[in-house]
Amino acid sequence: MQLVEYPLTMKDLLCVVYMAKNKDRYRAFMTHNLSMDARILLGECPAATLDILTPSLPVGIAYYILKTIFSPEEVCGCDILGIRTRPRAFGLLRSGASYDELVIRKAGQAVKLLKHIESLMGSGALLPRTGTYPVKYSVGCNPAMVVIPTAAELEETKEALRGRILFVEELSLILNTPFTWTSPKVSSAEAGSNLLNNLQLLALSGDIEILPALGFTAPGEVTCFRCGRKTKLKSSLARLKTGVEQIYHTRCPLCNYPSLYCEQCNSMGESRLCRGLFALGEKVNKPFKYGFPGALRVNGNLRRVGVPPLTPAQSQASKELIDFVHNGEGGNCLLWAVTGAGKTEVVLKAAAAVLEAGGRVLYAIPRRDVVQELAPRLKAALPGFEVSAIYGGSQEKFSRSPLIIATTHQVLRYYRQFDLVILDEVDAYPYRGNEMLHRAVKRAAKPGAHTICLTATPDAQTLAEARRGLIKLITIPARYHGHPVPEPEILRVNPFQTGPHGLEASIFLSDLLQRWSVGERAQVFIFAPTVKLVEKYGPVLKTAVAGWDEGMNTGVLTSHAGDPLRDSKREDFKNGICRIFVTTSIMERGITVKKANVLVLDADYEAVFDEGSLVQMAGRAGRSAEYPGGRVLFMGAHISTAMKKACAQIGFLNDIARRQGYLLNNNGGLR
Amino acid sequence: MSFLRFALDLLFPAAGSCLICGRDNVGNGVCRQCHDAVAKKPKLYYCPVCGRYYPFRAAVCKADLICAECVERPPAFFAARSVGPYGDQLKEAIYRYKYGGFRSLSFFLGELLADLFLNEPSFGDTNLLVPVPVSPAKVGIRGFNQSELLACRMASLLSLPVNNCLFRVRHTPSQSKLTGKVRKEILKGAFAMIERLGQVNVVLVDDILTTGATARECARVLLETGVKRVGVITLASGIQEKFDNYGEERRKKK
Repeated sequence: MQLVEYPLTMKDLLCVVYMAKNKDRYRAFMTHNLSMDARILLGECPAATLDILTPSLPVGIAYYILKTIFSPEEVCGCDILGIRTRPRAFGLLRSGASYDELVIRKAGQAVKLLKHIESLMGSGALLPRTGTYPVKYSVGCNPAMVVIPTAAELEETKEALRGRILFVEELSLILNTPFTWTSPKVSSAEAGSNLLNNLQLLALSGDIEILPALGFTAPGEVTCFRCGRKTKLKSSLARLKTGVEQIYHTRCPLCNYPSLYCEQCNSMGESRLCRGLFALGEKVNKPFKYGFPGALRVNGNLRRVGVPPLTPAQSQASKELIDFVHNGEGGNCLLWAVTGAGKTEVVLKAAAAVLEAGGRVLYAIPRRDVVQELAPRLKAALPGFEVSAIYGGSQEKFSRSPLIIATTHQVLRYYRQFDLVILDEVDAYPYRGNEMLHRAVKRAAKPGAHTICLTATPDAQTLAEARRGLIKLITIPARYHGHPVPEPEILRVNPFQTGPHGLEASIFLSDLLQRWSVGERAQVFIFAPTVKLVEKYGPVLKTAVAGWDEGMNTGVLTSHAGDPLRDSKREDFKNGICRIFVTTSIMERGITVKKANVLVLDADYEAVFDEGSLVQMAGRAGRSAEYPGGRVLFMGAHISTAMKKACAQIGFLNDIARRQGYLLNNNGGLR
Repeated sequence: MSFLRFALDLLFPAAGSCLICGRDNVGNGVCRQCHDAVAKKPKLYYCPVCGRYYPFRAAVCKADLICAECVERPPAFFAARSVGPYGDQLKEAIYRYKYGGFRSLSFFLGELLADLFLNEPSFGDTNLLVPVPVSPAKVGIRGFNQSELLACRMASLLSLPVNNCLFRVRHTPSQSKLTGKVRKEILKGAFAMIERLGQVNVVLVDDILTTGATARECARVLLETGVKRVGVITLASGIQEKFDNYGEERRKKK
C-alpha cells in the first residue's frame, strides 16, 4: 500500500475513519487531523502507520460508519488477541496477520455502507472514482513538527465544555478565543492552539464525546442529535407521507458535499451533516441520601430574605419535595398545585437543599418574560448562590452558575449537568407535546437526577402515571391565602343578539358586566376561543359598556396572539387602567390582578378550550388575599365535557383542601 | 407497531407547523392564511422599469409613470418585477427564509416567482436564469445563497437552465442600512463573470430589490459580456419615498 499525504484543509468538520495498531492493541476512531492522531497513537516512530478506511467525510457519515462497523470496545481500544476471525481450517493465526485481515474486512464494510449512503444522497458524492481503501498514513519523517496542545489548554477546554453540548463556535465564545479551522498554511504554534485539535485530543482520551449535529443512525435514517428529529430518506412509502418531515436535503456550501439539515431546531444554529457537536457531562455527585449539612441554614436564608412564611399546605408539599430530592434514586415528581398556590416558593427549599449540597439546579420556564421576572426573585431568596437567567439574547448564556433559570429552548445546550431540574408549566406551550424539549430536558439532567414538574392542570396521561406510581405526586390543594379557588358556574345562554345595528350584547350580559365592573368594582377577564371572535366581540362590548359610570375607567381592551401591543395591554390591565379585557387563551397564564372576575364566552368550543385551559382561566379569579372571592362564569350553547371536567377538577381540589384543613373557617382560622 | 404508526400517519397526518406563522398546519409548508397573505396581488402602482412601488394605488395613475431615478439614470436591465412591496407577511416570509434558515420556504417562494414570471409577457423569451451571487463570507454565515435556491426552484418549474456565472469579486458590507448613493459606490466593480454567455436573454433572480443598486450593477456586468437583454425578478421591492417631486410635476404638466 502506498503512503499518502492527507489534506488537512477542512472548512467544516470532515473526518476520516481509521484504525491504529500499537504493539498488541488496536483501536478505531475518526479524526479531522490525522497527523495529530498518528502522533498520539503511534508515538514518534516514523515507520508506524494508521490505516485509513474511508475518504474524508462529513462527520454525520463518519460517525455512523464508526459506530456501525466497530464495537464500543474497538473504539476505546482492545487487544489484538481478542479479534474474532472466521474459523479456519488450520486454526491458529498469527496476531499481526489477523489485524491486517481485519483492516481489509472493515474497509470493505465501510465502503459498502458508503455505497448505500451514496445511493440515497447522489452517486459519486462520497467515494472517489479512483483509489481503494484501506490506505496507509504515515506520521512522516519529523513527527515533532506536530504540536500537541498543552495540558493547561486541554483542561481549559474541558472546563468550558463541562455539562454542555455545543458547536465549536459556541465553545470558542465561552473561551473568548477567536475560532479558526485548521489549515495547512497555519504555523504549528497556531495549529497547536486550535480548539478543534484540543477537542479531538480530549475525545481520543475518552474525556468528551464528538457527535455529529445531524447524522445517520440506521440504513436510510437520519437523526438530528440535538433535537432528536428522525427521518427516513427516500423510502418509497415515506414519500407518500404528507406529515411533518423537518430534515431537508441541501448542498453544503462550506464543504461542498451533499448535506442534510434540520429545520426543527435551526433557530439555535444550523444542525447539518458536516457539523460537529461536542459534549461533556458533569461529574455525577453522590446521591443526597445522607442529609444536608446546610439544611438548617437554608431555611434561615429563605426566611431572612423575605420569602413569605409558607402556609401549612405549602409547608407539607415543601417537606415532601425535600424528602424527594434526598432520595438517592432520582426520578420524576409532579407538583400539582391549584392556580395561585405559590408553587415557586414551595420548590425554593428543595432547590436550596440541592444547591447547599453542591448540586446544580435548572429552573426551566416556557416564557422569556417570566424568566426575567423570576431571576431577581430567586437571587433575593437565595443570596448565597449565583443565579443566571438564560434566554435568547441574554448576556449570561454561557455562565456557569449553580442555579440556571432558562427558557425551555435554551435547555438544548446542556448535557448531563443538573442534579435537579424544575419544569414550570409542563402542560403549557411549548413543552406540551414537544418531543424535542422533552428529550432536551432529559439530556440536561445527570443520570439519576431529580425532576420536578410544576403544573396546575396535569394531563390525563401524567395523572395516570402518578396513579400507577411511576412518578411521585405531591399536591397543594389550597391557595396561599387559605380561601378556596372560585368554582365556575355554567350557563347555557346566548350572550349576544342581533339588533337593528347588527350584533349587540344581550341584556343579561350587559347587566352582568355592569354589576361586576361598576357594582363590585372588579376587573373582568373575558375569554373568547379565537382571534376572530375576540375581534368580533370586542367592539360589541365596547358599545355595550359606553357611558357606564363616567368617573371610573370602564373601557374595554382587546388583545390576542397577533397583537403587537399585547404586552403593554397586559401591563395596562394589570395596573387597573382598564376594567374589561377581551382576549384569547393567550392570557390564561401569568397575569394576576387583585380583584378579578372571569367570563368565558363560547366555553363549549372544545377545539380550543380543553379542561386545562378552562381551569387556568378560572384560576385568574380570587388570587389576592385582599379579594379571595371572585366569580367565574362559563357560557356556552351547550355544556361540553371539558367544562364539566374543569368544574369537577376545581371542586375536587377544594374538597381535598377542606378535608385536610387547609382552608380558613369563618373566624379566619384553619378548619 | 411501527407499521401501525406509519399507517395512521398516512391516513391522519400529524399536524406540522406553518413555516411562516408557526401555527398548526396539516402537511408541509405554509398555511392557507399565510399563503394568501404573501401571494396577495398588490394594489399599489409600480414603476414599469425598476418595479419599485409608489405609495399610491394603481387606480390613481393611468399612464405609465416611470420613476424619477429611472428617467435620470436608466438602469441596465429593461424591467424588474416583484411579487409585492416589502412589508407585512411577505417581509416576514423573506426574513424567515433568509435569516431564519428555513430553506424549505424556497419551494413556496420559488413557486410565487415562477407564477410571476409566467404572468409577465416581457420575460417570455428568456433563455437563462442567473441568481445574484452572495459573497463566500455570507454563505459561511447563512449556509446558503438565497437567490440561488429560488432560481433553482423556478428553473425546475419553468424548465429553464440556471447559470451561476456571476460571482462577487470582493466582499461588500450588508446593504440593508445603507442609502442608495453609498450602495452604488460600494457595489461598483463588485461583480464579475466566470464565462461569456453570448447572445441570450437573461432574468436575474434576487430576493429583495430596495434601491436597485445590486440589480443595476449585475445587469451592467452581464450586458458588458454580450448578453442581449437582462430582466430582474425579485420577491419584494421597496416603496419609493421620493416619488413626489418628479411624479407630481409630471402629473401637473399632463
